[in-house]
Amino acid sequence: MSLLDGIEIPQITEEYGTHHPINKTNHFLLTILERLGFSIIEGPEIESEEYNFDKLNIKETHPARQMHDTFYVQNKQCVLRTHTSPVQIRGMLNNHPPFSFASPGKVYRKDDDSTHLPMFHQIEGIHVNQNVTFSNLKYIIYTILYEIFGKDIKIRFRPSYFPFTEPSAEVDIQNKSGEWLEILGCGIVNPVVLDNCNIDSSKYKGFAFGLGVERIAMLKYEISDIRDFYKSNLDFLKQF
Amino acid sequence: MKISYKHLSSFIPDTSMDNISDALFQLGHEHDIKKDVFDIEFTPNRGDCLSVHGLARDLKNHFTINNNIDIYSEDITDLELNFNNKSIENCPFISFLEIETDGSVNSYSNYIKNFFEDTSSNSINLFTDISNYVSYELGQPSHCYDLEKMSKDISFEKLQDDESFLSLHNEVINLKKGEFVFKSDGNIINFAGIMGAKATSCENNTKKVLVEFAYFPPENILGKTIKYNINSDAAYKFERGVDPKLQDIALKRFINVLGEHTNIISLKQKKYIFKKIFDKKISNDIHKINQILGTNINSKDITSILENLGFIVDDHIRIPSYRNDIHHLNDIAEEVARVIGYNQIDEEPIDLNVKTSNINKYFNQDIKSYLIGNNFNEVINNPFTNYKEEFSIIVDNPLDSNNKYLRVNLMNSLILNLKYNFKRQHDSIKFFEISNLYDSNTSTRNLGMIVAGRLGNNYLSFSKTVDEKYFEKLISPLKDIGPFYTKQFSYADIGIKGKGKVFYFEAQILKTAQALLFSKDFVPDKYFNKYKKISEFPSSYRDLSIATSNKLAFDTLMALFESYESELLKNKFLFDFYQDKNNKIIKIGYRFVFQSVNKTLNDKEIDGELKRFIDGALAIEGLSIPGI
Repeated sequence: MSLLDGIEIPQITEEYGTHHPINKTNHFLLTILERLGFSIIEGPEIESEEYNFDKLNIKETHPARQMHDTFYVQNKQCVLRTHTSPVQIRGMLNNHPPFSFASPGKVYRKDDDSTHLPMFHQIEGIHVNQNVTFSNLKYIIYTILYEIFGKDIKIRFRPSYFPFTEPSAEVDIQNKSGEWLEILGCGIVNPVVLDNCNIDSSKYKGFAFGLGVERIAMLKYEISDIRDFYKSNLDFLKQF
Repeated sequence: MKISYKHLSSFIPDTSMDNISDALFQLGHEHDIKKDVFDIEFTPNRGDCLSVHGLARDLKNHFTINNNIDIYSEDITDLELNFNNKSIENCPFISFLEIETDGSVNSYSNYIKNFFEDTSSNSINLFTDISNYVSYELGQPSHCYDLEKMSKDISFEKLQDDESFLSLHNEVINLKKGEFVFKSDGNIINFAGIMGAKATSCENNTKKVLVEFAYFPPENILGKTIKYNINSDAAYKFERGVDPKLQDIALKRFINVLGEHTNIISLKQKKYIFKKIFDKKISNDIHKINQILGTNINSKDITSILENLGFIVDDHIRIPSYRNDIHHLNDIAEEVARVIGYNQIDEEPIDLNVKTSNINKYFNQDIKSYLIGNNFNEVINNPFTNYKEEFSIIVDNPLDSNNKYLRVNLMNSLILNLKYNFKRQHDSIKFFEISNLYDSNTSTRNLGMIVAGRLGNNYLSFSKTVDEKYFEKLISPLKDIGPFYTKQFSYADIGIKGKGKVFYFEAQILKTAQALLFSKDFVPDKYFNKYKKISEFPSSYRDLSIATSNKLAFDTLMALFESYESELLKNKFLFDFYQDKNNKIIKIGYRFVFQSVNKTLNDKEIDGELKRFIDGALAIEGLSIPGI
């Protein structure tokens, strides 16, 4: 519509909101995993010790079960899940192999400093079938990390220890200044865990991996303080 | 754990520190190097590596290892001891050594001096120092009692009641019923595997000692140092697993090292084996090991790898007593993979059957798109709150006792988010959060929305604030939602300065929840832009009013506005557009917001920044800036 001398009314600049950067990163990662064939499954954030620890081969005396690492609720009857692995346990108990699940969600640990938060986000993946190998796991991890960081990224696997996987590995990527950064944990599902979930470990094998969403987001957005994600500062949120 | 290269070299001669470091990384022993000391973070399953000898043993596939340990080889007289083991399951193997010296102490050998220096340990007294050194070298903790301070009537028992004792570190430890202790003459002389008592400890003038070399199952020790706030190297080792066959060797090594530093007058020994040790074994299946790894390593190579690690391989794989972490073939496969190197195992493609996508439902993407399209910003809050509701779940061990409840709604979190941002000079706030909520009866997935302040920054909405009409229009298209409620607050109600209203909406939502009216899909696509550090300093704004009646001047001004950038410019927008038909003039209002990440800007700096724009505008023929 023209006004004086043909001056046009300026277009209204549409103002849009933003996704939270952690959910945006979550979306990005889950899109990759879905493309690879993982289905998203969810589970409760308040868990029994049986699902959060016992079935995952984390013994009653494991340090992670001590009060200083785990939030207990309802007079120690339950825990705030310390990882999304109990979702995988539920997935294994309710499904017959072969299956591939990705379990995203909030997890809780009794930490609070510039590098740790009492609440953070994980995505774990699991695939169970006959003839699953550590080589297959490496292929999946390479594919995921190439999608996240590009094909030029250097990746290395290191032996590690998780009660629920055997062999277990930690995976590092090399940053621009040549430093190796730990990026995820993974391994072949411990046969004890399969048996705990009524899956015949003599017939089936599986691999599993877990990613810290905040860690990936910090690297991708180049954010140095994890606490920035949860201050709900509009100046921060508007950037994503 | 700190392990000195000098000490490791006595088992791995002629090998550089760099070569050892590379091998350690490959084997999964992450470490830092400080001077010539490896500071290694062993994984909790590798108790067998918590000594110089144990670590060297793990490197045998990489280097030639000198496995000889100088131990005392003479016969030792039997010790007469009245030892009553009341719980043999919890202390199945134990050896006692009675040793008397003339009290002399020779200057410490270099390897002992290096131990103190390289591991930042303190010298205490001769017997304790040798005990600590042997633990460092072989991985077997031991405890020295001053025999002048106790009798030889000793028991190992489970406490029947709570009981206290004064520890070596001069701290009273109140042990709970059920803990395992050594007692003599009815008094606690040692919290088994964790910390000895002050009353029977050795001193510089001690000449006659009883040294105890025991094995305790890890599960008896785990968690005790945290429970009683005790720092104990012995407990650290026992809880990760000590070799149940090591006690006698450690005892003889102790004598040998002690003999180099004092004159031994007499030696007596008593060895107790209360339980037979059954060697663990696993069926040998090379094919399965390769199946787990996806490799094709031949039987000879696998056998060689395992034998170098101390396994005996025939039709079974017999597990050495020090490897309490090996239970099944997957563990064996890990041993093989560690030695050949995880990075040497090729990737092999695998096709997982792709299932139907449910990613948008997981994120409630329809709802999110609607809200983001309406300028709402998503927040995530942690669930801990100080608000107690009827069915709130209480956290038994909160980080902060003021926030010991799990939130049962999103409102209080979103109000806090709103207040935080008002304090930071934001005057138009629209937030939403989608989160699972839990109370003692049920769990729900909730959507919370909070909105206050200006409707927006464009010239149609700048002068309007959020009201009932806007809010009703906003929430009316929401579909497939459960029970919901709305609330209105004045700014004063929630402690915000000024006048205005805050509108809140919260609903239980299903995965299928959606909004009937939205025109654009805001599924994330361009994911990662580089984050710019946000400022902790206040922002300042300048409003500029410009008048014109000339199309060319107007278009040139708008182009100038679009292109105006500055490092200090945080935001700019056209907040007013007015046509004065009587005077045939268009009036335009621009707002420029300035902020620095380094300091609070002063008027001069802000005006200096804006001058570029003003000068550019004044150079345009046919427009005026009132007041300038």
